Amino acid sequence: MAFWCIIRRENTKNPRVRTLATPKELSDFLTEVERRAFKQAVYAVRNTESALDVVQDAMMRLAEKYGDRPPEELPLLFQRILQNAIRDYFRRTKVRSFWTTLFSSLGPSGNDSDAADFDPLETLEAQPGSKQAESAEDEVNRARTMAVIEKEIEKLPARQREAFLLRYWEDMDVAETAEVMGCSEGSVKTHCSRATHALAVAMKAKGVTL
Amino acid sequence: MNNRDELQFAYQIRRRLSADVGKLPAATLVRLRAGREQALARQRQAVGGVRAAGMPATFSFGWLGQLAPLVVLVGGLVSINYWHQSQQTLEIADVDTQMLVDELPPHAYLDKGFGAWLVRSGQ
Repeated sequence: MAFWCIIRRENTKNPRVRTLATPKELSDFLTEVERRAFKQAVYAVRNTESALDVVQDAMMRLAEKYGDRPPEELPLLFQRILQNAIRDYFRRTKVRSFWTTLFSSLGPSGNDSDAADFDPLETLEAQPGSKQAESAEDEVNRARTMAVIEKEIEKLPARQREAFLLRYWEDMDVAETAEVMGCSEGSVKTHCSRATHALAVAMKAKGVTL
Repeated sequence: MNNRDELQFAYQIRRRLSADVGKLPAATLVRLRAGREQALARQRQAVGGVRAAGMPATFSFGWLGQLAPLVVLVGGLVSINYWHQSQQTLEIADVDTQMLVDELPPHAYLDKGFGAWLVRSGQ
């Protein structure tokens, strides 16, 4: 055990030895990333409850299988796990809907109405924090813009959305995004470019300026 | 839309998304926190909290434990070899001692006639 303690103390001088993520480091990492991960999942699965399940599943998988990895490896690992968890969700949903349609035509389909039921005024009521600084009209406009952005992100093809969010929201470089998505760097650039164009056209069509 | 415009537009979207992520409903935050705590309770930890590059991620005493039978086997083989060699040395030393303390001088065994007599008398 003393041997390991010595390595741990000297590991900053030796690049071959890396310190592993402590529970606090993993906790800090998850705290930092969980909200964005949730939104990513919502854009993909379009259901709050399912998105929460997907994120929890991804956090569990990261902690269980890769909790002993160095902290600098966590972002890439987590994104890969999250994207896989989203794909798993769709796979499960596909199987479930197959059996549901096979055995019953009464399958409930009203779960995904979060986006359709979105009311900017609700956001206004829920967020009284910065009201004094700006007018209610600004707040409503902001909520409306945000709703349009989210809706358009949801509408993007899955690979374009994945590339766009990883590259620009998660701040990954092209190589990292390609690694997470399991495709070439050229494909990442193409997906990002198409996603940006599609969003820009949609915003313009809806008269939304950023 | 050139590359620069694209990047600028993407970062404007990012700014909006990042601002909005701070406004998640309390119930969602509670669920995320619960999920995080549940995950942390299951965090995999390596012994000593350190791993050298190239060493398996699951390094632990369990890993050493798997190696122990091999170590015992190699140790056993080395011991048997050593014991066997020392036995052979003792046997040779015994023969030498008997030849030296015998009344017959050792060079008699080099005599061809004496050798032939020994063979004949043995039959």
